[in-house]
Amino acid sequence: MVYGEGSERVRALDRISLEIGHNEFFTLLGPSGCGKTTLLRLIAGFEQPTEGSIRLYGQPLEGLPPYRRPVNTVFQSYALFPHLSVAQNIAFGLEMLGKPRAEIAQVVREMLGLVKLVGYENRRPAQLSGGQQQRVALARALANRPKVLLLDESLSALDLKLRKEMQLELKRLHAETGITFVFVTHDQEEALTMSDRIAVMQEGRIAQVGTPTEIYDAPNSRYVADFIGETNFLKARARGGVLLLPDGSSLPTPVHTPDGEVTLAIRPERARLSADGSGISARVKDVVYKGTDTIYLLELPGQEPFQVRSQNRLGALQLVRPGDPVGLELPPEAVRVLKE
Amino acid sequence: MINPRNPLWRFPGLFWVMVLFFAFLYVPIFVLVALSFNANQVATIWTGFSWDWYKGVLDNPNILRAAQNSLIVATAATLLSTLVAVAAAVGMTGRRFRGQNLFNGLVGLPLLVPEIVTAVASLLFFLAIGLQLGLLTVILAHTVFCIPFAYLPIRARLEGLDPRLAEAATDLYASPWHTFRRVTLPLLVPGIVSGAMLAFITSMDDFVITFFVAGAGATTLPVYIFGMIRTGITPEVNAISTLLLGVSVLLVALSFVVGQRGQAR
Repeated sequence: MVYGEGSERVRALDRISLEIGHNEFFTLLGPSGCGKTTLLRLIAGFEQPTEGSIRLYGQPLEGLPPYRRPVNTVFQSYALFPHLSVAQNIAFGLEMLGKPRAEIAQVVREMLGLVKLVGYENRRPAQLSGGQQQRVALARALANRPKVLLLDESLSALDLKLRKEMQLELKRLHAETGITFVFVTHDQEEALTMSDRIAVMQEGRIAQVGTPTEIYDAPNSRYVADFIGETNFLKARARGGVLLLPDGSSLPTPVHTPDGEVTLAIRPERARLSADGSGISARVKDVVYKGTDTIYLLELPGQEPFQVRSQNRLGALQLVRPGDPVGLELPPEAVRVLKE
Repeated sequence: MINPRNPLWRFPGLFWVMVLFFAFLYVPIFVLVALSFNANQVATIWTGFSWDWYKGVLDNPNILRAAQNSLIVATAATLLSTLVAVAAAVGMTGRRFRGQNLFNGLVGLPLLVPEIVTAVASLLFFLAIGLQLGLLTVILAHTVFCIPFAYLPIRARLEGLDPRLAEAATDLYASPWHTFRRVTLPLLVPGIVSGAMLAFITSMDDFVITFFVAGAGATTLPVYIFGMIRTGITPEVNAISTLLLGVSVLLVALSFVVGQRGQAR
C-alpha cells in the first residue's frame, strides 16, 4: 500500500498477510500511525491497495466499491446521519439494499432490542448521549447482517466507565450475532479484554499475531512486550544454557537459547522480592502503594530501572523502604528471551 | 457588547467616531423611509403622516409590471444560479485536482469584475450572438453574477460536513447517487437556502447590468426607479425604495437565520 507521488510516496502498509477466521473477534492493535485504520479502510473499500489482494470467503474484493461489499463499518465518530431519526438511521442500509418495508420494520425493531434502545426510534442523533449514539451506530451496521463488522476505534470517544460497559456489550453482540468482528484500537487493555486474536502492528507491518495470552505471555519482540502491558528488560549474555547478567549472577534459560547477547523480558507481576535477600542484588528506589498492588521500583547495576508488582494480599505491609538493598527472584517461567 | 478591556476603547472620542460612522451609513436610509410616509407633495419637506404614496405605487400599472419583471427575473436567476452553484460546490469539495484553486477563483471572479465591465461585455455578447434583448437576456446575465453569491454559502456548508457521513452512506450500500440524494443534499439544504436567498436579493437589487441588457418591456424595479428619478424625486420613489428595502432586509435576515440553524445542527 503506497500513498502519494514522487518523493512524497509513503508506504502505509507493507507485507501484511493475515487470515481472519469465521466468527472471530479479531483486533488490530498499534499506536496511531501504524496503519491499522488504513488496513480497515482497505477492507471496507474506502482505499484501494496498490498491490496485493483481499479476499472475503474466497471472493476477491479488488475493484468492488464500498457499497458492493458485504461489510459494514462502525466509525470512530459514529457518523450517524443527523437529519434522520434513530429508526431511519438503522433502516438506511436495508433500504439501500431494496428490502421490503415490512422486513425493514421488523429488523429495526429487533436491532433496537438488541442494543437496548427500544423507545428511542424517533429521536435524532443529536438528542442521544455518546453511549446511545454508539449503540445506534452498532445497530445500523449490524442490521444488514454483514459478513464482517469493522470497528474503527469505536470506543475511544467514550469515557472510561461507559467504555467498560460497551466492551462487554460488544462481546455480547459478537456472541449473539455470530458475525466476524474486526476491531481497531490503540488501547492494549481493550484488545486483551475483547479479542479472540490480536495483530500487533508497527509502522505498517504486523509485529505479532496471536491470542491475548500468547501476545502477553510470549511477546516475540521488545516492541510487542513494551506495547502490551508493562515489561522490564534486562541485558544478558547467553552461554552454554545459562543467562549471565552483568553483575555476575546467572539464570537458567527457559528455552534453548543460542549463545550471544540477548534481552530478557519480565512482567512486573511475575518477578518477586526474595524474603532472605537471595537472587539478583538490587536496591529499592521507590515504593508506590496502589491499593490492590504495591509497585517496587528497583535499581540494578548496569540495567534499566526494574519494576516489581506485588499484590497486597495481606494488607499494606511495607516491609522494604527506599534505599534498602533487596534480592530479586526471577522464576525461570517468568523470563522471556528476546532475540534483539 | 462593548468590552472595556479592548485597548481600542482607551482612545478618546472613539464613541463619537462610532456614532458618526453609523449615522453616515444609515441616516440617509432612515430619511428615505420616513419621507415615504410624508403627506407633502414635495418629497423633502415633512408635513404629516400618510399612506398615500404606497397607494399610488400599488395603483400604478407601470410600477407593478416592473415589480413583476423583477420577480420573474430574480426567481429564474436564483433557480439557475443555485443549480449551477450546487453542482460546482459538490464538484469542488472532497477531492483535489489540478487547477482546483484556479477554478475556485474563476467561480468567485464575477464578484470582483467591475459591474460596468460585465454589463458592457454581456450586452456585446448578446448582440454578437443575435439574441433579442428582453427578459431572457436579463435572466441570463443575472444568473451569471448570482452564481458566486449562491456558491459561497453552499461551499462553506459542504466543507463543514463530516466526510465520514458520505463514507458511512457508501458503506451502507448507497451508490454515489443515493449518497448524494439521501445524505449530502438534505444536509446541504441550509446552505442552499441561504445561497438562494442571497442570489435572489442580489438579482432583485441589480441596476447596472440590467440597465444595459434589458430591452424594451423588460424594465425591472431598480431600472424603473432610475427612470422616475430623472423626472424629479417624488415621494412615490421613496415608497417603492422602502418596499424594496423591506424585502431585502427580510431575505438577508432569513438567510442568516437559516445559516445559523444549519450551524447549530
